[in-house]
Order: sequence, then C-alpha cells, then structure tokens
Amino acid sequence: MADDYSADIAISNVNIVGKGCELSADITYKLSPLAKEALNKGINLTWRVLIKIDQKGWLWNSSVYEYEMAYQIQHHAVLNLYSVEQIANGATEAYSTLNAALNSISKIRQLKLDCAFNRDPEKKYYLAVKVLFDREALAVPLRALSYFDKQWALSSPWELWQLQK
Amino acid sequence: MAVTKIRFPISVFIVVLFALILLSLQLMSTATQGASELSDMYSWLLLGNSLGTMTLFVLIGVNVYSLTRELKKREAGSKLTTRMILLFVMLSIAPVAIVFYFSVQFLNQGIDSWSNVEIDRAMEDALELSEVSLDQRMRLHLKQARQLAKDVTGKSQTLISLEMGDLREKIGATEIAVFSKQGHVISSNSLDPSDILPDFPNEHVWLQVHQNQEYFAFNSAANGDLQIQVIVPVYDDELRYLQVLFPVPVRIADLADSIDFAFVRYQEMTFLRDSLKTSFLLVLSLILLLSLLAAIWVAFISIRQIVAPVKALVKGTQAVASGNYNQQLPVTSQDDLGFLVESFNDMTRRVAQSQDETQAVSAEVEQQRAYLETVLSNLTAGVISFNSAHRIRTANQATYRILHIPVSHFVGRALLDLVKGHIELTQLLEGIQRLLEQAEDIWERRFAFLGPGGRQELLCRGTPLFSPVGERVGSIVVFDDVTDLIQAQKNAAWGEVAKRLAHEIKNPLTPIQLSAERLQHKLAAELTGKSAKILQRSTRTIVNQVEAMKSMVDDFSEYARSSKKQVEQVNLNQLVNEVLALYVLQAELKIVKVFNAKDVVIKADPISIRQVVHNLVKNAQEAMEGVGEIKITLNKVLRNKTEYVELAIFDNGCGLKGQQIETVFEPYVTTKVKGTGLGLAIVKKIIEEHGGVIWVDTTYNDGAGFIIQLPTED
Repeated sequence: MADDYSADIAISNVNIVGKGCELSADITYKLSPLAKEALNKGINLTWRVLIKIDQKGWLWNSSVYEYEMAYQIQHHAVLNLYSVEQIANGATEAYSTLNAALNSISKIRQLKLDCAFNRDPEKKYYLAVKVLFDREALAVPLRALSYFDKQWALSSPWELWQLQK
Repeated sequence: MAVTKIRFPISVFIVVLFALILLSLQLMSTATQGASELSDMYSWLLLGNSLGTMTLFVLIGVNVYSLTRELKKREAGSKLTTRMILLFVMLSIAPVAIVFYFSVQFLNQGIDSWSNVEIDRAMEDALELSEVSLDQRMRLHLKQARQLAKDVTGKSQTLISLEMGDLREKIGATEIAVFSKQGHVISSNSLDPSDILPDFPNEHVWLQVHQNQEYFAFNSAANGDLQIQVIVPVYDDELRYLQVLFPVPVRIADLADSIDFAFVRYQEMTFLRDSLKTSFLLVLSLILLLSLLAAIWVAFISIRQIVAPVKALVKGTQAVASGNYNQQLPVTSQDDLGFLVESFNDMTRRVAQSQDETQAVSAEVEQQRAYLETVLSNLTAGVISFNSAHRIRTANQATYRILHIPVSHFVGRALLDLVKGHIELTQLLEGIQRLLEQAEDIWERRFAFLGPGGRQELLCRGTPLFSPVGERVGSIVVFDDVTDLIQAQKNAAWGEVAKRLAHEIKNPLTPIQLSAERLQHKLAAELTGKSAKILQRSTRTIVNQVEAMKSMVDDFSEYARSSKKQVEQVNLNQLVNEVLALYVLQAELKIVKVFNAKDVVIKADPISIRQVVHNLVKNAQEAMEGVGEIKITLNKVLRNKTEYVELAIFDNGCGLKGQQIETVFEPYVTTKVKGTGLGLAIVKKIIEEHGGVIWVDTTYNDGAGFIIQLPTED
C-alpha cells in the first residue's frame, strides 16, 4: 500500500539446536517521509525487535520464551553520519547513509536463542518475530500525535514460524 | 440497636479529588518538558488525564440526565437546580474561554519567537564552518594516506611490517593496517600496543571501498573518540588496501560535537515547533477541560446540597398541603436555609397541634352527633330532615316502621321520589312536599294513608331550619302514627255522646210519651169537637217525635258500640250474596255482581260487615230512587306486600259532588230528607275497626262509587 510504512519481516530459517534454536530473518525497515525528516532534524528513532515462542492454547497463546533487541538510529549533522546504537550494550556504529544504517540492523543471521523449555509434544509452538517502533522513545511533543499519524506506524505485525516437533 | 451510618464528608472528598487532579495535571505539565524524568510517563499521564476527563464527562452526563428526568417529572427543586447549574456553567465557561484563547495566543507567539532568520543563518554558518573545517582535515589525511600508499607500493610485506610504525608516527595516525583484497589483515600497527588486531572496516565500508576504491569518513573509535578513517588502494602485484585512522584533536572534536549538538537541538526544536504547539494546546485544553468539568461536577454536588433543604421544604409543603401535618425536616445547616427549615418545622408542629385539637373537637362533635343520631333512630316518631333544596338529608329508623319505605336509602333525593311504587303515599308525600315548599313557620297537619296494616293516620309537624344569619338551610319533619290514638279518641267521644244521649235524652222520652198517651186517654172522653182533634193531633205528634228521637238515640248507641263484637271467619262472597238476595226481587233494581275473587275469607264480625253491605246497597238504592243498576265487585289486591280484599259498590244515581266527597263519612252528614246521617259514618267506623279503609272512588263519574279494602285472613 502506498501509505504503509510498517516494517516487513521474512523469517528465512529457524533451526532447533540442542535445547535452543537459531533464527535467521530479514527485516525491511520503511521510513515515512515524516520519519526521515524527523531523523534528519535530530529526532532519534528506536526499534525493538521482539522475539517470542508461543504455545498455542485453546483460547489464547501463552509465551514460553521472550527475547528483545533494541536499536536506536541517530543522525549527526556535522559529520553527516547515521549512528546505530544497540541499546542493550551501548555499542555504536556509524554509517554514512541511512540505508547503510538500516541495513546494519535488517539482517538477523543465526541468532542463538537460549529458549530451553519443556516442550509438550501434544502442543504446537510458534516462533514469533515483530519489529516494534518505539513511539515512547520519540520526543515528548511527538508521542501523543504519533499514535494518530500513519507516518509513524512503522511497526510490523507478528511474523510466525511454526516450530517442528 | 441503632446503626449509625458513617458518611465521608463530601467536602473532604472534593478537596481530595481536586488535589489528585492538580497532582495529575502538574505531573503532566512537568512531563511535557522533555528533559524531565517524568517524560517517560507522558503518554500514560496523558491517557490517565483523558480517562479522568471522560469519567467526569460521564458523571456530568449522568447528573444532566438525572436532572432532565427530574425536570420532566416536575420534581421539587429541579428548576432551581437547573437554573443554578446553568448560571454556574456560564460563569465558569466565560473566563475559561478567555484564559484559553489568550494562553493559546501567548503560547503560539512564544514558540514562534524561538526561531528567527538570524539564528537560522548563524546555525547554518556554524554547521558549514564545522563541516568545512573537518572536511579540510579529512582531505589532508586522505592526501597523506594516498602518499603513504604510494610509498608502500612495491615493497615487500615484511618491509612494510617493519616500516609501519615509523610511517604511522610520521603522519600522526593512531593506526595503520594493510588488508588484502578479500579484507584479510596483512599487517598493522597501532598507537596502543595492546591493540593486536586492527579496527576492521564493516561490511558497508568494504562495499564503499569496492565501489569507489577509496573510502574516507569520520567514525568513533573504540574509546568513543572521534577519528578519521581513510582507506586507499595499494596498487601492487596484488591489490591491497591501506587503512589509516587519524585522530581528531580533542578541541576540534569537542567543538564539532558542541556545534552538532546545538544544531541538532535547534533543528529538532524547529521540527517540533508545530508538534509542540499541538502538544501544549492538548495539555492546556486537557487541564482547562478537566478543571472545568471537575468544577461543574462539584457544582452539581454542591448545588444539590444547597437545594436539598429547599427541595425538602417544597416536599414538606406539599405533604402539609395534602394533610400530613406531622412533617418534620432535618436541619442540616445553621445558615438561612437552616433557619427556614426550623421555622417550617415549628410551623408544622403548631399546625399539627391545632389539627389534633380540631380532631379532638371533631371527635367530640361526632360523638354528640352519633348520640343524637342514636336518640333520633330510637325515637318512635319518624324524623326526616331536608336540605334547602328540599332533598332528603337524613331519615331515622322510625320512618321505615311508619311509612314502610327505607327512606334513608333516598338521601339526596326529593321526597316525591318515594311515590314510585308506593302510590298509596301519594297524598301524604305531596302534602308534606307542598308544606315544605310553602311553610315559613312551624306547621302541623294530619294525613291518612292506607298502610299494610290498614288505614294509618299520621300527625306531621314540620319546622323550617335557619342558619344563624337567617338563611334557610333546610327543614325537619317529625311524624307520629296516631291511628290508634285517634280511633280511641273518636270511640271515647262517640261513646260519651251515646251515653249522654241515653241518659239525658232517652230516659225522659218514655215518661213524655206515656204522659202524652195518658193525656190522650184521660182527656179524649171529656173533649169534643175541635178541642178533641187538637188534643189527638198534639199527642200523636208528641208520640211520633218521641219515637223519632228514640230511633236517633238508638242509632247513636249503635254508632258508639264496638262493631267487633264477635270476630270469626267470614266468607265475604257468601255474606255479600246473602245481603243482595234481599234486593234481587225488586224489579226496577238491577244488581250486577263481578266476583273476581272466590271464597274470600276475612276475620270480622259478620253482623257488622253485613250491616256495612246493607247500608251501602240501601244508600245506592235510595240514591237511584229505587230505579237503576248497582254493580258490586269483589277483588283481591296487594298493598305493601299485604293481601286485601277490595269490595266496590257503584250505582248510577245522582253521585257525590265537591264538598260532599270530603264530609260524606262524617256523622250527621246526609243528602236525604230522612235519616240521621250516621249510616256512612257507621260504615266507616266498622271498616276502620276491622283494619280496613273506605273511600269514595272519584274516578267513577256515572254515580257514586265506594271502595272498601279489608285485610284478608292470610
């Protein structure tokens, strides 16, 4: 859709390794003109990659494992760089273009998930991935408005991958 | 045990509510400032306050709905509450709207004044200056790196490794590294000896290098310091890449960082200007709306509290108006309204007291009335009271006993309504009605009617009733059944007359007659001629007149004597036939008998009844001068659920006219030349002594008609 700026997730593979699993996925971040302008005007943008394993239930699913990665992109006007910070450990990398910065967080390759849980053979399990654009990390004046503006709807829906028995 | 309900003071509740609202608004106001620690809670505070606003909207909506229903039901105090609420809302909205308008104006002007062309220009220039400065430094280092690449071209890997330290120091770099085309480290040298491995270019950098053969950019060192990364190709037998990392002087880095920070802040501020206006407008609107709604809601509560005593007073007044004088209202305050409520309570207390006294008096009056009613009910005389329109108000039990009509069932109706179904009372009721309408003073009149037990004589006394101001308010009629009394008086009077006649008149008659006869006997022989004739004529006259007087005295004796000498069962049909048998032989007299009732048996003295029939037939014969038709009927009739036998005798003689009809049954009333005038009086006396009634049939115009009704034995 023309006005759809939600991120896309494509899970390429999930390998069960021991009691854990490895996830490979590609994320396509789409920035709306307003989001690009905001970034270039000094507004930091934050995404959270949410990963969880759900056990299918009768009425609702229950999560047996949850994992989160958060990234923040910032623009430096003087140096004309885009820095990407991994919020968990503070590691920052600078990129000369926005695409390069977004590409740096778009690939998940063999991410090891320590998702050790007692699996019920009778139940179905799904690995779910979602990219959540953190509106609450925006500047205060933008927060309330961002909930009513499609240009800030940058999150993706949950992408599911059924875990094999 | 009485349970006391502990009520939380509403004023405390309102104070707490306002404190919470103020706290929430203060938090939101603080959170609006981006630097505040509360900024993370901004959305939640905004949501919380929005929910609070909606809650207040709902509360006010409920109150408005409730008030509307009260208005529709016209409940007490609803109009006053509405008026006060509207006044409060109007008074509140006006200043709030003014404050809101000017606040928005000041806000917009304030935010707009943050930026101007000079500052924009200055910021742009500062940025450009920084960029130029850093660009020059980068280009210098690029040139140095290119030169270094030329210097190492053609040298062996070992030689390069040996000279790398000198070369790095020579150009003032922090790190030099040579990478193969595939990105593997060939050799490196760093200012920090602990850095064994060089700073590897990332994937994006390699992509740039492969595309452009060169790469130069700023990046951050591992320690966070700004550095310039330059990668240039080394054209040898095999393509290699030389990466040189140059440090940026701290001062320059700080200045660049400072300019970057200021520029970014300025850019951000410019970008957020509209959002900031909207955000402030939102917060300001929310604050004013929340405050206004809270004030309106509190106004609802407060006004309801203020109006409550008025409402209670209205309800109390309505209760008093509907007769509940024990209404007492709670005094909830000591202000003017409290005083008003106290006054109301005092008033109702006094009214209730008066009402109690009135009720006591009424009860006493009612008791007196009941007593009077009991007395009246138990009077032997009938008492009927009438209103000013001559309609029945009350009637005691004796009226039923005397008139045999439940007069008390006819309350509110006219006296003549009683006639329906009781024709025998027509004369009585019409007479009383006429007197009621005409009499201006006390009146007394006797009436007779045929009751179930025979003829009844009533002595009626009427009294008009007047109010203290002289207005006629009704009348009262008292009547007694004086039948027996009248009869007794009559009997006594005629008995006395008969006794006196026998004693004073009859006794001297015999000596008179004897003396006259003796005179005739003695002097007849001595006198002759004319004298003898005179004596004979005189003595005969004396004897004849004495005989006549004897006959008259006998009639009186007969009249005075009781007719019910020997009461027995009499077959009236047979008795009438026996009497008529004496007259049937007379050729010029035609007797017609119509006996619709067979074998009628009455309890009577047969001689007296025979005399009645005989007298009437004889009267009829004399009235027709012996020529004409006498019709005799015998029927059974019902009067007041009692069976009567009706014996009627009609002739075609000269009949009775006017005054004769009224006096025909009185003694000494006669139209005949001969006769004492006691015949019909005796008939009437006999009939009445037998519980019957006789009257002249005025509807019969061919002669005279007499109707007798006697109770049958049944």
